[in-house]
Amino acid sequence: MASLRLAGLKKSFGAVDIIKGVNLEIKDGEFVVFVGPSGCGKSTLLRMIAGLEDISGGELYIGDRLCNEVQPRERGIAMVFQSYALYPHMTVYDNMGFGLSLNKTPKPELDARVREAARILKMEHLLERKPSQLSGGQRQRVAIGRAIVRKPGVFLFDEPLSNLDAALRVDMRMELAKLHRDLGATMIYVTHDQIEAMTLADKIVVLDGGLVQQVGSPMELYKNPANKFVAGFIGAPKMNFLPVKVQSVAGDTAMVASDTMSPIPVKGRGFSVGDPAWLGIRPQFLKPGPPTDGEGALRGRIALVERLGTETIIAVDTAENERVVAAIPVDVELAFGDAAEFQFNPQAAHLFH
Amino acid sequence: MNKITEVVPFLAPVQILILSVIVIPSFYVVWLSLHASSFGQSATFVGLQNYIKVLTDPAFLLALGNTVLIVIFAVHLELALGLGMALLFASGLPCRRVLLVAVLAPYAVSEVIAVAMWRFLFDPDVGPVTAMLTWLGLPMLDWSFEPSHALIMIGLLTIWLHLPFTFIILYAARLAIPKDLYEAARIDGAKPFDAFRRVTIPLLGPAIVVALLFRYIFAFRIFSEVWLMTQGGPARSTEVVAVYLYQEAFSFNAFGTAAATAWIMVLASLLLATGYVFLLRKQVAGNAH
Repeated sequence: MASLRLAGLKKSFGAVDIIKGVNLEIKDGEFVVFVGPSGCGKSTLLRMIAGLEDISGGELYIGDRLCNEVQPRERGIAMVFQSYALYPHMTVYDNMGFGLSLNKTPKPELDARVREAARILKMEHLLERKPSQLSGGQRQRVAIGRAIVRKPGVFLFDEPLSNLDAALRVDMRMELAKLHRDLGATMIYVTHDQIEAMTLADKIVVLDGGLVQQVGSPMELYKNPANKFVAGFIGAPKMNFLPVKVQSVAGDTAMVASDTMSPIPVKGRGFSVGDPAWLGIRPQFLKPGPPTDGEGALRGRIALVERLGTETIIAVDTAENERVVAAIPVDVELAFGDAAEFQFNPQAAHLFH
Repeated sequence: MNKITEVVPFLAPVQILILSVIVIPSFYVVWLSLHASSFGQSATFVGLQNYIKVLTDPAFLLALGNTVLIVIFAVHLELALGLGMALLFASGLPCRRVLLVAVLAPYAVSEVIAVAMWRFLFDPDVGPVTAMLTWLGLPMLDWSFEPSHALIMIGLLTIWLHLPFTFIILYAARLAIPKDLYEAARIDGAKPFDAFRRVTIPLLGPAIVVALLFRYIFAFRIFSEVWLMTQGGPARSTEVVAVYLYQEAFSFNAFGTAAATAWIMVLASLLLATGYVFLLRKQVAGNAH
């Protein structure tokens, strides 16, 4: 097990800066998820920690050791790739034991460790098979097994579930969470799937444009997003953003309104009267019906209804032609084009610059 | 039944082509190899005499020896070079496109032109390469006089001519190995040589088998390089089996022995190919385990 410290970590490919200075502390045994849209630099950051990409600037410490120039094999890490990266000419047993056979681990110890990993992942019966004889989920297990066998200080996962079907992904997610509990190892996991991030992480690192946007526990990020990007990225369906104007400010509360919305008080710092702002409301906080005293209201016409059984996702176009999405926790039957009205508690809304 | 009568006319052109170009001539050569035959003589049945005559002919044995030498040295050296170059190219060589054209160019050159070029380059009196070797204080290749030098020259020429073939097969196979595997190997603790030995070579195995098999067969029937360079001389000392066959058939008009030689070549090629394929498949399977 090991802790990590990233101090001003930078990566450039030629003149293009991919990682623009990342500072991060990862505690021993923590499950950290790097999340962000495609091209945000999350995989590059992971590969820099793995030693597969050179570090252009800053410092990377694994444990207390500066690892900028250390070879991957000496960093005490193991990595699970998106493509699994299993050696197709080797059996599952040999795939898992490859790292140990390279460092000349005695045969009995190698055998014991491979079998122990196979037992943890419930795949003792697959040891003699070749990767081509395995299903996607089984291959992923072998890739994880190969990492476990090496007993690394840090496990690195690069979008390990993205090649699996939806049902298998849920199963594997639970298995990974269990694995983390059982092994207690430091794990860094890259994904663009915010559900994976929310369900697995002790700590989420949201990245965009090569910069850390926010670091925090899943609920911290969900409840107190630092900016509009994080607010939009965490939570499904995506948070609604409506353009508003600040009418008055009193302490930490700003009174905001728009042409179609009456003034409401929302928490927000650093705003001045007349500032344009974005009012963020999560779809789950919109409730059908007219507002009662002090509540915000949104009106429009129904553009789309998705009935999922346990909930209904309703998209509404407002008079200002803004698309607002509401998630109602019951099944309701609504018709396209109908007028709809929603109310929300202003305390549940967010205000962004 | 109806179906067969409908299908046969469509298949007939191919069948007729194969029959007339391969099957019938093959049987004719078998028949010929069992007869003594020359111009102006009717063929007389001699049984296996032709085969015995060829196999005990010192000229044939020398030709066979030369052919085997070329197969063993040229093909394996070529494979090593092709593999080295394929790995070098795959490792991200600068100016790769230009270099690729340069490496593949010999394959676009006609064998006749290639030999004419080499004859000039290595000319013992005026050849630029000879001049350079002399300038460097190295022994020159006296290929027009010294049989062993001539064989070395033929070997080098055949390697130069066919290297693009071996190279391109191995390069394509190397490019097909996913980058992830090397990254996984690096993380698993593999040094470059470990990755080469335990990842690259086993995964290139099938491509190596294919390249070797083709090159064994091509090299076993080598003709134009030798014929154009030395015509088997001096004193039949650089003859290879195909040149021996040509001499028997068209210089000495001994069609029976030439036909027997042809069949010996076919059988030897098959034997060679089968043996190597068997061995290498076993090796690949062994690595794969």
